Amino acid sequence: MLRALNRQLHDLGNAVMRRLVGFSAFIRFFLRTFALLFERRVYHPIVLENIGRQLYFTAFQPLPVFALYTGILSLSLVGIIVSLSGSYGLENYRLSLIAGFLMAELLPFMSALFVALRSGSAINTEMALMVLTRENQALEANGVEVAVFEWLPRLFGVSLSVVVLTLFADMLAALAGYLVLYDWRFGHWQSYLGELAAAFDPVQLVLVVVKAVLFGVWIVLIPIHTGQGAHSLPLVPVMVLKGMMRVFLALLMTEVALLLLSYL
Amino acid sequence: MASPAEAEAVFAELSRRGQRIARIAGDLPLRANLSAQENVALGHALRSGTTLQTAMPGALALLQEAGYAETAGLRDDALGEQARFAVKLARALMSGADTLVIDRPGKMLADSLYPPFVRNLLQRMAGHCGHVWIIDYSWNRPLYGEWADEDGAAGKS
Repeated sequence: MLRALNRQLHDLGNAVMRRLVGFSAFIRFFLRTFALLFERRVYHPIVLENIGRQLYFTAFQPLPVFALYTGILSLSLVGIIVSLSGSYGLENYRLSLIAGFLMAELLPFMSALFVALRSGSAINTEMALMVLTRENQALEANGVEVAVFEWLPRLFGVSLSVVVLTLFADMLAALAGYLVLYDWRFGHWQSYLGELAAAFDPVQLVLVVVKAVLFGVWIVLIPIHTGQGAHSLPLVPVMVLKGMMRVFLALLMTEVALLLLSYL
Repeated sequence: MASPAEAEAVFAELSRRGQRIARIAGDLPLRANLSAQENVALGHALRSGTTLQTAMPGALALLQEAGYAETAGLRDDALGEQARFAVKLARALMSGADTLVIDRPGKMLADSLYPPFVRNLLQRMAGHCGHVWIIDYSWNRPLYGEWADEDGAAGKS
């Protein structure tokens, strides 16, 4: 029995150490990539071109579908908030709930999940396949720095896309709030926007943008780093699974950390 | 022509002298999400600080010279092995290297009698080639015929 316990402790220790080593490798990778941002050669016309391309594919190409999902979600949740706040006599807090819960917390997280599922998984797979097909080595051999040409445009493009989609989702939620609160009657825009602005203070808006940028950074860097670990073709689905789980965990931890920070 | 072992020693010496070597090999594929023309233009554009669009005409001219202009817009998976080889050669030529190394062409041109094909291609591109080395196994030497013993654009050991 002691031997079995010893074995289990040994396995547990190994598992913890593996994760710690993996985490420290990711931190090193993150710092190396971050340091690149301060080098002038990185802001090459081709990199800027690729940022634009990434922004188009991540933020603008899926916009109709994203608008549909977000619109339905916002209308449903605003409907629930308005109905429940009415039942509990909390009518005065309806806008605070729409701004504080829906616009500041839920929609940024949903936007990040949308981008992670759509682009993060694609980036993870592409990076793993690039390692296996040796496209990385081929690019480097021809004088193309993979970190500059492949990683940074994704980092900028996706981070910017999460910010754009989050702000777009917030605007849709604001519209949904108006439609539900004023029973689809137009003409009360000014008073509604004034009340909404009072409920959604500028610090909250800055936090939403910071959070969206952080979400974007995790959605790109974690899949890139995980994809580098693919050593054989059958491992690609495993690396994508691991990468996406890590992205989810990072998004969740960022959300919780910033939530705590804003209420402290 | 050189065997892999001979070639390693020569390349180490060339690198020591600061010569830039561009390698064309089966294990150095084209970038899958770029067209043939973009693959050729990319390295040059990054080095010269221009946009991809600026480097594209030069890339097209090289592909035209190689006789593969019609493949310019195609991606790797749509290229035949000879076209893929020509694009890799154009990419290496655009890199501005002093020495070109064709590493085991038989692996890239499995369905072709490759020595005449490589020779014709190199002759067409002779204006852009500096030193060219072909690394191949000694048992493939008869395939090259008299070319293996010649001096010229194709180089020799």
